[in-house]
Amino acid sequence: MTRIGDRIRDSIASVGPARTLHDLTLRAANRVVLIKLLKCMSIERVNDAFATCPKPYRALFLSAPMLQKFGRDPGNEMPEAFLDEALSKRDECFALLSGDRLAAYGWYSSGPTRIDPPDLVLHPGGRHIYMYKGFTHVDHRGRRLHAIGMTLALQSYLTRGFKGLVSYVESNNFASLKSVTRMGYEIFGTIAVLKAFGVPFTRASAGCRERGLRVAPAY
Amino acid sequence: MRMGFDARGFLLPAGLPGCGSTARTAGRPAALEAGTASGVGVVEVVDRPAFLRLEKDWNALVESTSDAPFYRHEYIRSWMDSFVPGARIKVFTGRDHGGKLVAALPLVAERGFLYGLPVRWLVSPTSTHTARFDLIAADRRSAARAFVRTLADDHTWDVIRITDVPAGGNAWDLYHAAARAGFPAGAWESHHSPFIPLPATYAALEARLSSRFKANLRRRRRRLEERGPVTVERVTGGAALEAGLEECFALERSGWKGRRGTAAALSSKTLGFYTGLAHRASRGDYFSLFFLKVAGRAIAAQYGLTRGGVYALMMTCYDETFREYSPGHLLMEDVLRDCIAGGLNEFDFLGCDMGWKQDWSPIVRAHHWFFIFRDNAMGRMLRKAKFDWIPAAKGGLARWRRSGAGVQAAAVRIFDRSNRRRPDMRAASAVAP
Repeated sequence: MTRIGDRIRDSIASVGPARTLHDLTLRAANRVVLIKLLKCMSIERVNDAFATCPKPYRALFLSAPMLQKFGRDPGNEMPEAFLDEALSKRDECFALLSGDRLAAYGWYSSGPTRIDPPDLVLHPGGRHIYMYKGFTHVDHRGRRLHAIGMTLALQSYLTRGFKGLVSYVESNNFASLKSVTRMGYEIFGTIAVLKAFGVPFTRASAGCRERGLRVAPAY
Repeated sequence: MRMGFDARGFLLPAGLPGCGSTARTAGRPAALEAGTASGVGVVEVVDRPAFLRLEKDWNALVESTSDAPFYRHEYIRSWMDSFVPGARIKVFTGRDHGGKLVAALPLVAERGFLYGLPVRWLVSPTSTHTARFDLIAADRRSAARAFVRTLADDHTWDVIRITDVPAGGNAWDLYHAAARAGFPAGAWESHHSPFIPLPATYAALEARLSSRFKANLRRRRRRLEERGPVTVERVTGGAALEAGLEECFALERSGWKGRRGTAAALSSKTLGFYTGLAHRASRGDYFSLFFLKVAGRAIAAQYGLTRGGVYALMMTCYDETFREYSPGHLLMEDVLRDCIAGGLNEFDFLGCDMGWKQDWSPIVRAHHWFFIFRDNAMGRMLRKAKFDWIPAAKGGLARWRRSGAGVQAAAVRIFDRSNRRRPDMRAASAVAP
């Protein structure tokens, strides 16, 4: 009990009482049914603060053989099954390389993409690209590589005629919400996901519906 | 043009010289049968007049798909005319039910050797000068399936080599379709070409450059201006084109490329390619020859092609006597301003990822070479040799060299340590004759 009390006290100190209550409510509800509130966000303008890539990193979209090569290293967190699924959907991986080593990457999809829970897929809608699975290798953390990679990928997609990137963060993942806001993402709506007795239900807010962003069952 | 229909109802140019229907079905591997539903009928063009007649449809297809200069008919023709004028061509074209050109894969047939074995190659019409190649297709998947089906029935080749395919290019589908159909295939990573996604203003682009680089550019331009008025000239065609090209080639020859023997002016083939392409691109209104001039003297030049909102830098050179002013970078600055003012989306450096390009952009585009081997014992062995045995041998050799160097370094360290323990010995050896 004391440990829980300490954690609540720490949470109130770091994110405030309202957010702590929100987090506790969601955690309690998830003991009964799966419930998630997905904060949906987009970025449509390049943030110049992240548009410069520090040396010696080079940024590029990785090809299938390059991905398979990097996937063989478990430290890169790209298992074969994940790669097979992503490549079959023609998703793209934009990465920062340090020499021939993988430093950071993010995946980008213009089509429906499986989320958590895996029986649901996110449809990015319109001319947006869904950004998912951001990763920075442990040797290269603390250099804002995720934000830089995402910004450079955004530049490329904008020149290809896309409107921007969309992504989501769970409403009680306060650290990530803060981080994406700093990168320049703007939250435009929420999608509520409820899964009870194995049946998923979703409801998108007006902002999400306007942009065509939705979450639907995978089948 | 007389047209006919094949067994599946595809409209084909019947009896057209140089065209052969390859819509055969007998003897096809089972894995390829799914491709019959692709909706693309394949016609093989095997002579130049027939290939020349495709120009209008070809360019319409390119413009409706990627609209890059490298895939245009005149670009490929310029290369073929200059580098392989007498070669046997094999241009696979895909047409839909209405006879409309919906896919094209130009290849050149040649004979050669691979690891000492005689092979019949089908190669893409490319070299270091062509920069990029891809399958041209309205629907890449169906085109790839249809072409692989045709290639499976065509027994005139042993190895297909397609080079400089960009990441995400249509030819990846051809490669994957061939691999799925059971052909031994491999992809080899070649060069990374930097490119700049262009923002709306030059100020926004400048904000992404390093402060030191920008300061250097400002200082060098100021110092260059002390030597005379600095101007930028752009030649796009007309009477000035021939003289402009000569000036550009002479400038390129005056530098390191001239010393190494790789300047365009030193090879009639390369010169023919760049000259022919310049004239054809100029007629298509997508050619630019930029010059940076000081007091009327050209000190840097860029040969570029602009299509689909992208400026592609085919060649750049500068007068090395002006090296201290970085004339190439100063011209880059002016060309980038021009591209942004013209509303372009991208500046594509092409070629390799060199240090001077890295000053402008951290983003690169990966390119690959594809090798597709005939599915027989020799093909499987060649694939193994190229993608497994030779790389493994090279890796082993590199490891052996590293370990050799490591053993040597360890021996030196041990020797040094033992000498440190015995200073009298070191002193003795130092005075020994």
